[in-house]
Amino acid sequence: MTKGYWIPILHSHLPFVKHPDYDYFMEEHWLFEAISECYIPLLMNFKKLEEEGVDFRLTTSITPPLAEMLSDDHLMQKYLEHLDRTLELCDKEIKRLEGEYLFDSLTIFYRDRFLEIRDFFTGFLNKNVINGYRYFLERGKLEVITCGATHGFLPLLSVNKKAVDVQIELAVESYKRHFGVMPNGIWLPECAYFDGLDEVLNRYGIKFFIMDSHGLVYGRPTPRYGVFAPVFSTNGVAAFGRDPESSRQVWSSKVGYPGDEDYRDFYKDVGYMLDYEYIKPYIDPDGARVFTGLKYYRVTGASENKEAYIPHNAWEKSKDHATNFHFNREKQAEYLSKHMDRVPAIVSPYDAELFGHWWFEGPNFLYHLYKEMDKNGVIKAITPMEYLDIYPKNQVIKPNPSSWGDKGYYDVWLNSGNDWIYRHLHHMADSMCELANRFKDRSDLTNQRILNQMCRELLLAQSSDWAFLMSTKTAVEYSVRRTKEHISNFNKLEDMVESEIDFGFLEHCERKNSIFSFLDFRIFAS
Amino acid sequence: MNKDSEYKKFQDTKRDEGILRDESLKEDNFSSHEHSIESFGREISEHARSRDFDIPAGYGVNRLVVLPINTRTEFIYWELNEGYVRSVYDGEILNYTIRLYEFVENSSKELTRFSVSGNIGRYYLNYYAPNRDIYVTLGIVGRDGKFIELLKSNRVSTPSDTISHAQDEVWMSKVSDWMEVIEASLERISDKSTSSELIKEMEILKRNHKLRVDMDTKDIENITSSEGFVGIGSSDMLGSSDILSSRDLHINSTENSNKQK
Repeated sequence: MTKGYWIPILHSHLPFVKHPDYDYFMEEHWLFEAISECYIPLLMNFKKLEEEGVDFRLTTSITPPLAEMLSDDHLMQKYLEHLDRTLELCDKEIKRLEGEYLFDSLTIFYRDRFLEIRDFFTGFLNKNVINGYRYFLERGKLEVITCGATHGFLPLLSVNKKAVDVQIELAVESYKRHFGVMPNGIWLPECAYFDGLDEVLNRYGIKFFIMDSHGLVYGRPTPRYGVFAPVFSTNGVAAFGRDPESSRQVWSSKVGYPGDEDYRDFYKDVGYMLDYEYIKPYIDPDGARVFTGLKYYRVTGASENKEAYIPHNAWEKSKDHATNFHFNREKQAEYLSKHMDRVPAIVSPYDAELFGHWWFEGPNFLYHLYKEMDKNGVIKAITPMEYLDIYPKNQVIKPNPSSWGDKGYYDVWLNSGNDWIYRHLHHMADSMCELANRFKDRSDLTNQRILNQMCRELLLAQSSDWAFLMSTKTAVEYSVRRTKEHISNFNKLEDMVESEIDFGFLEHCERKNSIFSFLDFRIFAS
Repeated sequence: MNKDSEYKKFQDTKRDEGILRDESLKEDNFSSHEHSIESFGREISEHARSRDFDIPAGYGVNRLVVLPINTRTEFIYWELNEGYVRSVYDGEILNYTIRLYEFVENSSKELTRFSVSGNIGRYYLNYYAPNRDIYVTLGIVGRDGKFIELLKSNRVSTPSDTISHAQDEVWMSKVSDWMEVIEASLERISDKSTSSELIKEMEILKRNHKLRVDMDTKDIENITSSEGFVGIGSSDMLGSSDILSSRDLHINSTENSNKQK
């Protein structure tokens, strides 16, 4: 008998990065790391579950920028080259560490793993990662949802309502192009909600979205079931709230699973550890060291002295943690059921890339967890749409403006370190609307190209990632430069409208910031 | 159901709601606050090919914007075109005044005011204004002491940081072809504030989407006991048709269902 429904949701997102003018570009490396450590390992485990006849459900966003990159021929070719370089490094490492106790078998482990990933990428995925998501979507195992077109922080863009409309409309359009159907749900960028957003979502056919806990609980009125059942907004869009307990179990810095001593250490990568001349061909050609994906140590403990990583032990530990997670969900569901007259929904949203990239064993944890659920039949993994099919009647509330960032509101994306961007984003959106209305009926192809590219620059500047990184002081200079680059491009392009045209500059922008090839600037027209 | 059993049921429901609420807001020390982009961002080093880009300080426009950051802080930025200011006021301007307003029932109530300077500027206002509709104006206090409004901002809803104590509930059902039929039920409503707010919004929904709403407001009960508690339904709220039939709110959509296809 099912005691509880578990709704796991992964948010898969990377900002749009494409540099066709360079053979190697550091930020493209983000994408390659995420593919090798997160997206492909997850898809490989889903395939394994399918072959073993284990039922599973997962809801995952694939943001439009990520979908664009994962199906981009240029980037996928570069990824293949990256894989081949990594395999070359694996071979060198096998020779270097031959006969070294524990480390020699680790080098074989990595060689085999990257070979398997390569086979999966060139075979099952046909060199397009989106194919894997589409495959499981079509079989009803995955509920792939969309996200804001370029992950714009919608509450802070909503000063210009059209800017929000465009983020949603383009997201839906991009999803249809990549997956062939309408998306049922959306991962609001940063789970950020403002009053009235549900009307926009409803207008574009979105049926559900995800919020942090207080988005529901501080809604009006407070929902009777807390976050353990969805609510409908007044515009009839379902909102699902994050369960804090299952979040804590996975991600707590103190007691969370990824910190276990048997799991792979994130930082100790040969890219940073080995002799420069030796590792040079496998890191940034400019000399900057990067992660290669070959990491030989386990967390071990808090000290700097790390011991060798033993994949078998980590595999067993991920199995134990899956059993533990399942046990806790069962107890949680039993407790909740005493206070509810329906089977509770336990919603667990996480950043996808933390599974595999940050927590190397995360995809295996999920694999074991689905097997545990399938075996016991007490906790059932389902999608938000399946829950709504079971319980179509839900309370109506006005969700609370909120986000899933630190402190729960908009602080991370609007503070003294990043507030300067909004003046520009708002002005650019206004200009875009004005130009779109002025030129919507004209057929001058060059102007159309300029206006289309202005849209792209605006959309890319809107990405919440830049404001986030400025806040966390992680990659401030890069984020500031990326934002300024798009603002500057937009302004230069605007100067070219009905004026002297710098075709070299236009082509440069079109080639580099080529997101949404189908984009028509008229989307900003009223 | 007599009053005693109804009261007990009410108490049970309230207790359950309190427990579920607490479970929903457990401190989780998590984050969500930890984003994957951060772990990637740590790898960034500054490249030799990096270059800076020039962007303007302002755009020569007249604009005033207010954005809520949380329940206690609002961010305000403005830009004033010198020519515009001079066309309105030709006296000496030492500073400008910004006024914060709350929008209530088609009228505005001033909450606070403060001085700022500069034709391009920004200000972090620490004013606790949860769950309200707010906007700001920027202007000059003229020689005669009168406020001359130069700019008016956008209007925004601020977030809430507390539990709503409204006792009423509205339920909506979405069945069959998802948007084909929407059906909502109103139960014994006491403090009508929240419900009436929701109903008002659903009326807007009806207008916007050509939905059919059959609602007899006479059917909304108001039960308040001598002890001062407010009775609400519990399990029957989930669809006991004999209780709900007379007060069901039916909204039938055809347009939305077409949009889905």
